[in-house]
Amino acid sequence: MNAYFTKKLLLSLFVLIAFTLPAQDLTGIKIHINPGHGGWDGDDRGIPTPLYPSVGPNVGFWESQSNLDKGLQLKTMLEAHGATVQMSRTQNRTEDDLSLSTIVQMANEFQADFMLSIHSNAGNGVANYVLQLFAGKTDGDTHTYPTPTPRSDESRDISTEIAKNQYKNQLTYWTANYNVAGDKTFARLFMGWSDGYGVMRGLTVPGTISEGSMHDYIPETYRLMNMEYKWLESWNFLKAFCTYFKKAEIPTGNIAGYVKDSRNLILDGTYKKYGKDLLLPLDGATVTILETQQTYTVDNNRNGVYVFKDLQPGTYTVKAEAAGYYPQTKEITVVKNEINHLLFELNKIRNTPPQVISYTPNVALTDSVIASTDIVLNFNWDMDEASTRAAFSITPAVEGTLTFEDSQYRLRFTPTMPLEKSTLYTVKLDKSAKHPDNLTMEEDFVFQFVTQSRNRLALIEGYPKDGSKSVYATKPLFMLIFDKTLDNATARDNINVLDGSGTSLSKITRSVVFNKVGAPYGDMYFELSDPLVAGNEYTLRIGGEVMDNTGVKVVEPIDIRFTASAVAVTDKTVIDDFEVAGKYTYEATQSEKDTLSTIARSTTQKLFGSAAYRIRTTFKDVTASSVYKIATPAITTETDKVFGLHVYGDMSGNELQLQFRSVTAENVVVYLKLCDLNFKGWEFVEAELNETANFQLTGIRVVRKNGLLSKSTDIHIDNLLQYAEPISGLISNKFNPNISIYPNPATDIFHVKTEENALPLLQLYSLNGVLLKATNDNQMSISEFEAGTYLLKVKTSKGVFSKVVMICK
Amino acid sequence: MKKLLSIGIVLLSIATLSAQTIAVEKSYRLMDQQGFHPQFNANGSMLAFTTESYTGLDIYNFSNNAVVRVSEEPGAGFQPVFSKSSDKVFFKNIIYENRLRKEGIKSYEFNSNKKVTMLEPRRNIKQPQAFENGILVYADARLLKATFGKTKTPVTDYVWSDGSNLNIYRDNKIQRLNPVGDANGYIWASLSPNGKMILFTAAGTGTFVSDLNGKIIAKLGYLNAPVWYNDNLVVGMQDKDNGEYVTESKILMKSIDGKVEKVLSTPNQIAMYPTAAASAKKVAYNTVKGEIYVVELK
Repeated sequence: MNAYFTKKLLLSLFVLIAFTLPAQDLTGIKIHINPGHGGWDGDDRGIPTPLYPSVGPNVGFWESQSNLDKGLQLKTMLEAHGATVQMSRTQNRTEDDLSLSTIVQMANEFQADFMLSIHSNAGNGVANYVLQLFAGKTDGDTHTYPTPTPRSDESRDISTEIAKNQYKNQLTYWTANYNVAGDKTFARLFMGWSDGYGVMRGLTVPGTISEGSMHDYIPETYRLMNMEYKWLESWNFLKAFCTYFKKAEIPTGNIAGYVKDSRNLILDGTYKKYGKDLLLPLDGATVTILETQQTYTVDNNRNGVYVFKDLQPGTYTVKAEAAGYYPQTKEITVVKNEINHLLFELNKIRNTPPQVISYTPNVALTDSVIASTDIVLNFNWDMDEASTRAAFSITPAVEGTLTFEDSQYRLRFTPTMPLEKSTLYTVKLDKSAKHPDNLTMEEDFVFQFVTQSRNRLALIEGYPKDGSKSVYATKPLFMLIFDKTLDNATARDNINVLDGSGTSLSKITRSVVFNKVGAPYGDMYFELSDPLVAGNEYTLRIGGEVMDNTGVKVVEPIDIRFTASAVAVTDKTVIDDFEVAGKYTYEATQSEKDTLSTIARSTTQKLFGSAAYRIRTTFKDVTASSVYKIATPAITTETDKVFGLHVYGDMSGNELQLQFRSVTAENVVVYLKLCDLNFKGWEFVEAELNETANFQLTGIRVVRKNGLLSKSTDIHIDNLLQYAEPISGLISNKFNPNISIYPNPATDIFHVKTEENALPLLQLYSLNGVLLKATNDNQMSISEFEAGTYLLKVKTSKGVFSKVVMICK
Repeated sequence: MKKLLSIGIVLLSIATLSAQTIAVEKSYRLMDQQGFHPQFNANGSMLAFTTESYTGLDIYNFSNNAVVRVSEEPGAGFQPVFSKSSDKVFFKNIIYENRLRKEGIKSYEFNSNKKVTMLEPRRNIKQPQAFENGILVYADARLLKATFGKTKTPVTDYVWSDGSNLNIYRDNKIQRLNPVGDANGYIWASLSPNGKMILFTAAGTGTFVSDLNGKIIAKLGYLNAPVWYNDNLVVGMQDKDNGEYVTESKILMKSIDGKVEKVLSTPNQIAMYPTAAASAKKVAYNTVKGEIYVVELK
C-alpha cells in the first residue's frame, strides 16, 4: 500500500468520524433575513456585462436575484444548525420588493435576535470592497440626527464579524480594506441623506445591512453569478452568527479558489480589472479532490470559481485540469471554521513552434508608410518576452520601446521619434524567439517598408505669434493652422494655454472648433473660460502628441509665448468712435475684383461705446482690394501724423490701409498701411504718415495678400486715434521697399542699404519698445544680443522706417 | 336566536357607517416633543407614544395636556396596550441575555404611578391584548392570562401575527390561518372592536379583513400599519420608498365595504403609523420627523 492510499484511507476514516460530530448548535436563535430588492425592475440592479450585454428576467446578473440566492443558502445553513429563520421573501418578483416599513415590522413581530439585510454594492465599476452598515452612528460621530439613534452595539459587533470574514476572500480583488460604519453616519457622509437607511429605522432588533462586495466591478459581477461563490458569502454570515451567538467554531472547513490561465489575460471588454482579475478564467475546467473524488466543474461565466463545501479538517490533494493546459495538483490543509483558499493558474500546452501570423506595416515597397507608425507582430502563441525582445531588430537602427500585448500574443515596437522620411527599413525577428514551452521559431522573420516623405505635423499659421505683446486680455482668441487636417482629440487635449506658473487655463468647451479652414489644412480655434491679466506673460503650448488625421505628430512641442494687453488706448484724441451709422460707404469705383463688400455699424463686436464698424469683403482674384470712403472727410494731417486704430482681426493676412488725399491736389492719393490682418480678435495698430504735405483722411482700404485665409476679410474697427508720436516708438508695419536689411536673420551684423548717400540712423528695439542700440551707420553689430525677434528702425531724410529682424545664434 | 340578533346589529351598524361622509374637523400638531408610533386608549383621552426605535414610553393626557414618562426601556413603545378601563398601560421591556432577545411585560398605573412586572422576560412573547383588568398574551407556546385579581371570565378570542404566520386562539385552540396563500408573511394583525373580524397585512400582497376563520371579507389594497377605527372603517398608511428611505406617505381611512376612502394627513407630510379612537372621533399619526398630529373628524 503506497503512501497516497494510506493517507486516503486515514482521511476517509477521519471523515467518517467527523461526520458524526454534532453541527454547531444554533437552536432557538431567530434570524430574519431580508434579501434586498425584488424582481427584475429598474431598481433591482441588473448589470450588463460583455457576456450578458442585455439583462432581463433570469438573464445576466441581478442584485435582487443574487441577494435572494445568498439569503436562501444562508437559510438552509442556519436551519441545519438549528436556528429559526424568517425571510422577507423567498422569490424574486416585483411584488416581493416589500416596503421598508413591512420588512421592519416583519423582523419586529418575528422578535428576531438579528436582522440581516443582504445586498451588494456599486462602485462605479472601479471599486470593490466590503461595506457593513450597522444601525446607528459610527463611533466618534457627534452629529445630531433628526431622529434618535437606535441601539448599535449588537449590530456593530456582528457587522464587524461579517466584514472580517468576507474580507478574507482571496478569489476576488479588494480595492480597499473593509468598512464597518453606522448607517446614519455613512448615509450622511457618502449618500447625502439626513437620517440613515430606512430598513434600520423602527427596528426593535439589532440589524445589519451587508454590502458584501461591489456588483458592478465586472470580474466580481461574474463571480456573483456563481452559486457557490454566493454560498461562500452565506457561509461567512453563518460563521459570524456562530461566533457572535455561541462563541464557537464550525467544525468543518471549505476549499475555495479559482482556475485561471497563468499568463493569458481577459480580452473582452474594456472594463476595469485589477491584479489576478486580469488573468483569463478557464471556463469548463474541472477541479477534483483526489481522496474523495469530489469534482467541481467551473461554470461558463468567466469567473474560474470552484468551491468544495463542508470538508472535515485534514490534508487534501486537489487537481485542476482544463483542455489545452497542463494539469496541476496541489495539497492543501483544510482548517475547520475557515474557507481555505487554493488558487490554480494553469500553463497552456504549446506544442508547435511559434510563428508570426501577421504584421504591420505590411505594404509593398512601391507604396509608403506613415513615418509615425508602430511596428506590430502577431504570433500564433503567446511569446516568451525575453527571447522575443532579444530577437527583434530594425535597420536602420531606431530608438523605441518594445511592449507585449494581448497576453504576449502581440509584440509592438513604438519608435521614440517618427521614423526618418523616405527611408527603407528592414525589420527582423530572429528565429531564436520562443514561447514559454521553449520551442523556437523555425526560421527568421523579415520584412521591409518605406516611409512617407513627411514625418511631422507642421504649424504654418497661428495667433498669437511667438512674442506677441498685445493679445487682448479680456477676450483672447486662439487660432492655429497646420499643414494637415487635425485629429480633434489629440489637439483638444494637447493644445493649451498656460499661465506663468504652468497651470493650464480652461477653454470654453463649445468654443473649440476644428478643421474649418478646409483640406488639406487643419486648424483649431478656441476661447478661454476666463480673461487673462493684462501685462502677464502666457504660453500657448502645442504638445508633441498633437497629430493629424493620419497619425503624424507634431513631435517636438511648440511653445508660443505672448503677453496679454488691455489693447484699448484711451489717452489719445479720438477722431472717429464709429458709433454713428452711415459715415462710411463702400466705394465700388475705387475697389478692384471684390464682391459682397460692405461696411456698416455693428454691435456684434465692440471695444468702446455701443458699436464698432464691420468691414466685409470677398476677393475674386489674387490681386484685389476694396475701398470704403468717408462720407464727409474732415481729418487732416497738418500736425499730428500718427494714426492708431483698434481692429478686431480675422487672420486673413490681408493688409489694412488708411486712404489719404492731398488737400491741395485731390488726385494725389496715398495709402498708409496700418497692419497685416494676421491676428485674431482685438489689437491696437498704429502707423505714421510720412508725407510732408497736408493730407486729408478719405477712406479705408483692404488689400488682398497671399495668405491662406486671404480670400475674404471680416473685421471690426473701433476708435480711430490721431496723435503726434508713435505710442510704442515702433511702427513695425511700415517699411520703405527701397531700403533693404541683410542678412535677416543675422548672427552678428545687419547691413542696411538705402537710396541716399548719407548714413542713416539705425535704432534696434526690443519688441516691448526698449531702445537697445543706436548708430549712424549703414551697418550695426548685433553679436552682443541674444537670439530672438527685434525691431530695427531706419531713419533717413524720407522718414523713419521699421522692420522686424531676427538674430540667430 | 341571540346570536342571530347580534349579527344583525353588526350588519346594521356597518350599513349606517358606510353611508357616513368622513370629514376632517381640524388637524393639529399635538406637542413640540418628538414622538413616534402613537396609540390611543379606547376613549381617546390618552395617547401613548415612543421613539422611532420603540425605546421608552410616554403618555400624553388630553385632559391636562401633560406628558408622563412611563418607561425608558427598549421595546416599551412596541405594541403597548391600555387596560379596558384605561387606568393602566401594559408595555414590554426587551433585554438581551447571552445575546438572545427576551421580552417581559410590565404595567403602569396612572393614579399611583406604580409599575408592576406582569411577566418576567422570556423568549417569544407575542402582542398583548387587553382582557378584564389585565392582558392576554401568547408566550411559551400557550396563551397566558395576566390580570390584577382573579377573573372567571372566559378568555376572549386572541389574534396575533409573528411576521410569518397569522394565528388565532379560539375555543381553547390555536389555529394557524393562511387567508392569503402567496403571502411572504403576516403582520399588523388585530381583532375588530366587535371581535368578529381580523385586520392584517399580508406582506407583498396587501391589507385584508377576514372573518375569524380566515375567510377574506375585504381587500383594502396597499395599506400598511392598519388599525381599526370602528367595525367598518380602518386607518392605515400608504408609504412609498426607494429601497433606501421613505420618500412619501399619507394616512388613509377606508371602509371595508370599499365605498369610503379619505386621506386624513396633510399634503406634503410624510405621515406614518396611525392610531384611532372612534369614540373621540380622533386619528393620530407621526411624521417621519417625529411630529405627532391629531386629526379630529366631524
